[in-house]
Amino acid sequence: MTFLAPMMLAGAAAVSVPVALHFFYRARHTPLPWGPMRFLKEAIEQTSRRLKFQEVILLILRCLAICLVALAIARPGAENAALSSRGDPVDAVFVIDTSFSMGARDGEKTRLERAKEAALAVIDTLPANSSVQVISCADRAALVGPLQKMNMDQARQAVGSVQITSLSSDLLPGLSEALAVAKAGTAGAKEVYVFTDMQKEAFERQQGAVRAKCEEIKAAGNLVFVRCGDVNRKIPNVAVEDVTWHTESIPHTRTRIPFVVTLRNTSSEPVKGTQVSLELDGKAVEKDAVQVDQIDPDQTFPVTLTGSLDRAGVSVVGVRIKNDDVPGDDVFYKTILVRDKVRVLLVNGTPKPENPTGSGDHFVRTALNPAKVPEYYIETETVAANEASPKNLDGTDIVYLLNAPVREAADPIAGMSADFTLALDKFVQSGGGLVVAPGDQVTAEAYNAVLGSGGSKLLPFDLGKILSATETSPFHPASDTVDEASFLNKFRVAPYAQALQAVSLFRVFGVTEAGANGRVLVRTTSGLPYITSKVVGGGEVVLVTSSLDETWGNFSSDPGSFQVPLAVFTVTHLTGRKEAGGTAVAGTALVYNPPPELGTAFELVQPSPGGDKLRPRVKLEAVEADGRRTVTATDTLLAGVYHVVPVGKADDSGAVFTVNPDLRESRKLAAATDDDVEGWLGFRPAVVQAGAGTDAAVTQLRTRSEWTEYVLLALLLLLVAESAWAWVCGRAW
Amino acid sequence: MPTYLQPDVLARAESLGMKARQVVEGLRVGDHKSPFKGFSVEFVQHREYVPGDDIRHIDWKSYGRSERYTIKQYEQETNFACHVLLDASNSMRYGSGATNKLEYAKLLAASLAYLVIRQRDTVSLRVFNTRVVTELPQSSQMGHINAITRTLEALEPSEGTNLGPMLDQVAERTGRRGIVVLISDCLEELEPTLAGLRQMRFRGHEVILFHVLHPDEVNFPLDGNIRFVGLEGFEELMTRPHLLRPSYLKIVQKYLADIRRGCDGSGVDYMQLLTDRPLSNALAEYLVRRLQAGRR
Repeated sequence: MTFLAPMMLAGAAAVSVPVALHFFYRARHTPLPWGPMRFLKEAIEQTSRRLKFQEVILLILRCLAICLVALAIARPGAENAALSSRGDPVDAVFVIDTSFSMGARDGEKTRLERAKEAALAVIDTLPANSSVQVISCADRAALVGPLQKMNMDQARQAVGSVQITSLSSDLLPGLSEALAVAKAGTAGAKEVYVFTDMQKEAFERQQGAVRAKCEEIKAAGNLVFVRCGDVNRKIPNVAVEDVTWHTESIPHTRTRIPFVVTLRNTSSEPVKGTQVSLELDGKAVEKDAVQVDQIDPDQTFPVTLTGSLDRAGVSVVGVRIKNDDVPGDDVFYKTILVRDKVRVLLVNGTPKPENPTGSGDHFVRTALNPAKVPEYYIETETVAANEASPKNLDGTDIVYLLNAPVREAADPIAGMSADFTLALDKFVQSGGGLVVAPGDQVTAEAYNAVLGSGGSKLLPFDLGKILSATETSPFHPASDTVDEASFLNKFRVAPYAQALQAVSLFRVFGVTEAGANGRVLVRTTSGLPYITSKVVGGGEVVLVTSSLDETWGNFSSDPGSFQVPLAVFTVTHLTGRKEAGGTAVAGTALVYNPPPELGTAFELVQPSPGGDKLRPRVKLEAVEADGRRTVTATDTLLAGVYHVVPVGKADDSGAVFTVNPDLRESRKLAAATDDDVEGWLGFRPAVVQAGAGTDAAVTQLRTRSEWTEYVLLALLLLLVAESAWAWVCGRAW
Repeated sequence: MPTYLQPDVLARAESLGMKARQVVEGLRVGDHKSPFKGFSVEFVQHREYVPGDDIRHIDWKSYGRSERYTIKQYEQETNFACHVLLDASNSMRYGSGATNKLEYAKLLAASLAYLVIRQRDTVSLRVFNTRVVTELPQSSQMGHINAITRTLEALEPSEGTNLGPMLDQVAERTGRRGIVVLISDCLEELEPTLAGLRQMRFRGHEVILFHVLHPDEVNFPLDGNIRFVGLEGFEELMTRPHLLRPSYLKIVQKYLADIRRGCDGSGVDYMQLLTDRPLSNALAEYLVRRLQAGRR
């Protein structure tokens, strides 16, 4: 049992009054001369015991009456589901679940629509002078309003303005916010209503913290869950989990590439007739729409759709599906950088014009255009190391330094000029890709002094001594050392893994790993770093510790599985770094490193919830750190296409980000039962079903959970009994 | 007219009169049977002659008819002496105005005295508490009524009562048989009172007990917090009387029944008088009842 006004229990101390009166009070008696005292005395002697007994009973009844009055004023109620009684103002806080499972339809209405109707119904049941605060909650909470919390019209508008998001359920943020808001209220009674479809995920993700928060709310007021879905209904749902394309090539214009859409049935029912369609830059590719006959529960189903890439730049690939009951995860977006041309500069330290096949760039050039296709989208340009100039970097996406030495004082015409190496630093900083593959032309000290820790710090690690192996026991790259998170991770699996391990290296540069901030992507079987990388500014440097030709190893032993894939993966990865934008999950931050010329004031152009042309914008400010400007946007509640643009620029003029639904929400679509909730929370909260009888249910809950009326009824009966007893005893009240 | 002689009371009582129900020993000729028989005015009966009878009383005419000796008997009528005993103890103070017990009793005593003198009988008055405090000798003179009323008017209640011994004392001092009228509330112990009454009866008196009570004492309609102050020396009692009413009524009813039964058993004529009842009615009722009983 709990009390809404426990201090009032102190009123029970008033029982001392009748007790004191009983024992100590002597009433004023009117004197009356009387003759037959003998009879009177005899009557008193006969009745005194009975009268004393009656008086004790009366005293007990009156003490009980006072105790009941104190109890009634203290407003007792049931411990598990106490609501304030009707009549007194209430600080009501509505937590409305906006995770995308609330978009599921149970009948004609979505769960969110039912939640709003239920919230409006609860508003109607609130006593006069109550306040309402509306909080939207998925895996984060936001106070929606109203500004004037006692204005019920504003509260209704606030409820109506709640929109569904692409986030997943987590009750903790909403409950925490609700408790803070409720505590800030001035009314004595607090009521927190959680309008949710009660997905298990919402409770289980942070179960311990949710339980603690619910207990806190229960201690401060009352907690009511309003169930907005049907716990027994199994919702058919298919989620788009991913869309991929052939990543061994760089998407480029004038090609039609296959997109593999991964569908997954996250419900417990087979889903039939799922229609899958593809969008490119918001335009549907109708003729490629596919209908899937049936996807069984928990089945992952790949669907391949092809689309034509006609425009260079960042495009948005969108996938939509139809025919399930949860629309929130029926879309998936990805950005794709479509290149018209990829220009690769090969800085060759060993040019042999008379023998091109013996030239140091031969193998890389061959790998980048193995079929020797004319007008291929990857254009290579070779320049001798001593002839390389900053102008060669104009329009270049990637630079390969192939056994290219730096210029040293001893030979002022050999090697790369200082101007070039300086320009190379700026090139990488601004997003360019650099692949360094030293060979016998390179001296470690000179390289370290110019490109390493002694110079522009482009190298992931300073070069060390050249380590040699015998022909009979060369160094071999080890596939199991390939960094799984790197762009080379395919070399962990066949057939690339075997090809990688078949490579024999007779000489490699040792590197100084200690104190450097490079990352080793592949090591040899003896543990020597073979391929390393380092992010520098907007670009990245890949250092191969052995030459990319046949001088230090059999680089071209398996061109199809090593030489070409290595070149393509590398180029694809390094060109991808120039992509402005990316793909994220709803709720995560979008991070953009704008070029300095765009200034520091930006706006996040959000997708329009209703599909309007006028898209909402949010101001953003670039932050300078480590020599880079970073813009971070966190308002990514809805799945769709976002743009980070300089203030006032057109919607699609900046970096493009795609945001996808948080699929944790639909991965385990199951509503918690009341027993589940009791198990998680440690007590059984009040649970009301949203629908036609919500207001009546809430009212009944109020009536049932507070015992004041019953106590008053008991008091009334007690008073009647006291009066009757007093009458029987011949006493006035 | 003196205060205690009220015309309405007297008018009704006079028409009824007060006859002695038993034989009384009067000094003069009157309306009442005398215990003495012989030569007198009123022939009563014949009886057979037995040796020792005065032969002068033989009815020779009867002997001539029946040849048996018979004696003629005659009855003498005389007046009676009425002894009014009035309780003037403190307990008679109770009641206010017309319902005051003592006032009621005084009115009754005066009315009876007047009634007795009007029919040429003699009346005496004794006022008592624990003892006889005032005594007026018997007389049949009309002027005697004035003395009685003056005595009553000057009367103030005092002390308690000791009715039993007082009755014994009075019985010794009233020689000839007559009518003893006791006017009292009889609130002391019952048994001595009844013993005194029996003693009166033993001495040949016709005894009438007018039991004067206030309605409050019988019905106990009191309410509130009351401190009862004993009029005759009891300790004070503080109580809420309505709580005691059932017990009190039971005790009072038993007491009234006992006194009535005791009077009946002793041949005492008992009349309960509640002071809220008009004395004229009460007295008339008693006299009628008395007449009816006399005819039987």
